[in-house]
Amino acid sequence: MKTHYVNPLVLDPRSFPLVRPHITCVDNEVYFGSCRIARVSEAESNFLKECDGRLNLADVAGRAGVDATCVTLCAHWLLWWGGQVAAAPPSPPAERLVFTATHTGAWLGMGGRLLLETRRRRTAVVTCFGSLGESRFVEPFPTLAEVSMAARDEAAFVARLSGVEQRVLNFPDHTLRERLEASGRTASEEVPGALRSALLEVINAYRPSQIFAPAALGDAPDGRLLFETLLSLFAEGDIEGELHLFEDEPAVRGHRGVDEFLSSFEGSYLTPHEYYVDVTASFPEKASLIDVFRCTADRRAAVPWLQSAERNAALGGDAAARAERFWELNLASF
Amino acid sequence: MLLIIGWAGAEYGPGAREFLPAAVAGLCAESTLSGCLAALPAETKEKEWLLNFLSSVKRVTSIPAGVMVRAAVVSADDLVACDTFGLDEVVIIQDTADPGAAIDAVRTYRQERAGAMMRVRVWFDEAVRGGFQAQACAWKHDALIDDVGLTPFASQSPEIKGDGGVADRQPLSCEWLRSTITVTPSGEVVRCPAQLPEHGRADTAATAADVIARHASLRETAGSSPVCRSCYRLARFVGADVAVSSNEARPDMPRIAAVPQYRDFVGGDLRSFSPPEQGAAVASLMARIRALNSEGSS
Repeated sequence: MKTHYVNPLVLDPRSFPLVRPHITCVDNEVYFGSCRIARVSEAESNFLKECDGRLNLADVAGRAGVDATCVTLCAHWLLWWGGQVAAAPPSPPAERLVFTATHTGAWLGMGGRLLLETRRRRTAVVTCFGSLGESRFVEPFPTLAEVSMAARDEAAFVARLSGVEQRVLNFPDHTLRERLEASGRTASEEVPGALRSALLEVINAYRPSQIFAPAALGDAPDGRLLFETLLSLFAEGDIEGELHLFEDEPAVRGHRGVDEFLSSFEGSYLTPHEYYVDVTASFPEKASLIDVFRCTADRRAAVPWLQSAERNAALGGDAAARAERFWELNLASF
Repeated sequence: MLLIIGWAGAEYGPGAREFLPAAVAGLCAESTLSGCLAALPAETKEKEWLLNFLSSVKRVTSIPAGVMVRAAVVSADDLVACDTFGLDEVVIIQDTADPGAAIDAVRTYRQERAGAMMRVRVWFDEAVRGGFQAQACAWKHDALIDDVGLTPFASQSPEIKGDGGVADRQPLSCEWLRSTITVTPSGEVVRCPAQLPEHGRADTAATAADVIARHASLRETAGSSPVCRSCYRLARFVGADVAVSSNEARPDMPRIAAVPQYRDFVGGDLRSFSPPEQGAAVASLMARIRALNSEGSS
């Protein structure tokens, strides 16, 4: 198997350029987060202002009066999308809810499916832990607040690209919970109960026919807490629709722990039914999301989950080149 | 404990002028307060009264005092006045409004009061979603304000609703409630800014003792509030000393390399390709540029 990374340097007049979420142009200076990275001309600045996904490159170039050199100089700050990007998310209530621990989890785990199906199935992605986030960059995002804001911008950006509705709950993530516990804060003990109440409230507000949650594969405390909370709501009948599980990090990077995960259902009245979704068609778009998650993700880090999609396709056994793996929870028949 | 007076928009009528001096004096006498942050009103005379009041609080009790004001309405005169009255800080709450006028106000203030010690910081409202970094960048580089962060509570309609039907009596702890007293200017004690009433109720506190008693009662009954039970705000878990205090620098994180990794240029992007892929990418790029030039912009 050979893994290709999608070429980001596409300069197709028919594609729709968007300034990446971490790039800002202020007074003809271009910043990555808080760091100034370049000075641009008035023409380049005007061009960047037009790159919001509503016009294709040919139209933007015509409107901003720029030439190919200008486009080339700005190209690396842009994400190139295959279709026009809607200005606002769809208004009808979502019928599918995707809960994710981190803002990248759902997209790395089931982004191909989301991109394929969102337009025919209204979807809301709910990011549950929004306090810290992580960034591999220190200078551009020097405070925890700025990392959190960058993560929120990434989430909003990808929601706009895909047409999903985006919600962010602000529960402290496991790193912050550990720090709170170390400093004697009792409120951190309230997180599981509060998370349960908040999830129930979201579910009751949407009444979705399908709910997706991260499978508790590997050691990801926030994903595991989210999984266990939703599983208990499902077990107690608070979830009326279907409950599906997707492969979150770190499993999606190859550290799977699937056997251990499946063995946790032995003797349970719930049975996970494994299935695969062919995401070959949407995979180039999914791969390009790595540039959206630039604050947290690295192109090199994308390779394992690209390989994971190929491995899933092989496991799925049909003609798909790339697939994502899911489990639907059903009542066991004894 | 931090005293929060109002949130986005507040009126300081006769009731406030009677309640606040008595309540704050009493709370300070009992050493309950560590700071005071009040919403700046729109009306000039009320503004003058509040600044006078906060100035006297600071002078008499030595606790830090500041105001919160929305970016859409803040002016250079407001900032100069706050500085004149000796306030410690101004918190500008930035929502989706264009920050240009507010940034200009800060720059004008800085020019007029070069060397002023008053701290100015910016909190971004949830409504900014998708534009946090653009706003932060504008504030940091145009107004030279480094202290930017997320507001602990929305200045617009609260998202937390609760279903109104859950009445759980199990105790519930809330770091925000432990670390702050939130009141309306006219004396209503509430759990947090997300639970400020749209219209005042008659049931208001008159003295510091009333405030303390009602606050204690709210802490004890937090478990019965569905709004508290379904709260997902970070402020509930970290309290005001983290949520409202200065932005914390990130813990030491290993840097990937000595070379600054933020340089997000084409060469850097190309480095993640293998040599044949690099050559192909550049060739493809140049071909497309030529095609674009020959096609024109139509």
